[in-house]
Amino acid sequence: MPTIRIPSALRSFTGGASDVEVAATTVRDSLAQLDRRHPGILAKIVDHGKIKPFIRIFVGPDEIAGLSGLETKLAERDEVAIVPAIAGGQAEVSDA
Amino acid sequence: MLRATIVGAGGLGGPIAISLGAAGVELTIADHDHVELSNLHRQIQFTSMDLEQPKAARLAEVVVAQGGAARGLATRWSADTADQLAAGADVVIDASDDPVTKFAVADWAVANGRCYVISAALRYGGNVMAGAPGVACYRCLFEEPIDAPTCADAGVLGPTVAAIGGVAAAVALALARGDRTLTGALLVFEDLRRTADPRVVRFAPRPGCPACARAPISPVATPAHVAEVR
Repeated sequence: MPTIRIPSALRSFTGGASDVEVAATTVRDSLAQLDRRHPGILAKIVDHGKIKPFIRIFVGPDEIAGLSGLETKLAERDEVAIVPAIAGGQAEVSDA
Repeated sequence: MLRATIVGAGGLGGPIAISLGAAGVELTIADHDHVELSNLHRQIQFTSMDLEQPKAARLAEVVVAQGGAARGLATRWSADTADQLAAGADVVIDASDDPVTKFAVADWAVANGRCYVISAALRYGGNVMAGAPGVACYRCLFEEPIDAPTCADAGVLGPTVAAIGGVAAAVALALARGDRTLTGALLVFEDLRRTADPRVVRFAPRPGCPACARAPISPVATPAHVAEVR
């Protein structure tokens, strides 16, 4: 099954899991399944059917914008990476 | 001599400045902030003797004490200061903790045909992007600085910024010497506790990107002093 890589900023939705396997054939379907299993996470990624501008999704090394967008087909062993823009350097981490 | 401008003298800016300074890169360091006690666990270029001192000037002094060449300016990167801060720089490196500044640095570099590096760290990981004239830019990738998670939301670990800063310095040095291998790619370090191997993801120019629309039509020629060191 394809695997979705969850960024640390969204792992509060997945109970801390960094990887979620989904039985999906497209990126859109994979995100829908992810949201059914972890409600609320999709709203952090997609807004009105479009990927939010500060989040990018990659299948393997390629951004889906250069493939077929949310309709990009997934193969059995594909990895879907959700990559948010981040800033850095301010505060102490509390659970280190 | 190669020249670099570093925006931010904190957790990322420290290792970037010290390593580039030791490599012989002449540095301009910009940061409006002062050293606070809560900085010291991750901004290891500073000591308790530096509290309340301007970060940029103190970091420049550390670089100079190790034989490097640096000047520190207590100012923010902005439309008013960018030209002065980055004059003559072969590469501009964002080491700030502010999404708006990251976009401002990238936009300025694209508009002026300069190489640049955007670095960011959060919790146990981070991102490093290398930009150069004629390739997809930071705004092609992340469009606009809205709601990007920051360390104020999620925190950052001291060793994380040291590691990400080291990578950013290496990428910047490569760019300054003309190596374009990593341009148009983002290095994603998801969790340095588990692996130091980045996920390298590629992205293409985004149609309609406003930053690229203002960019020079052709890449800027390599400066003569860069060609000398190849």
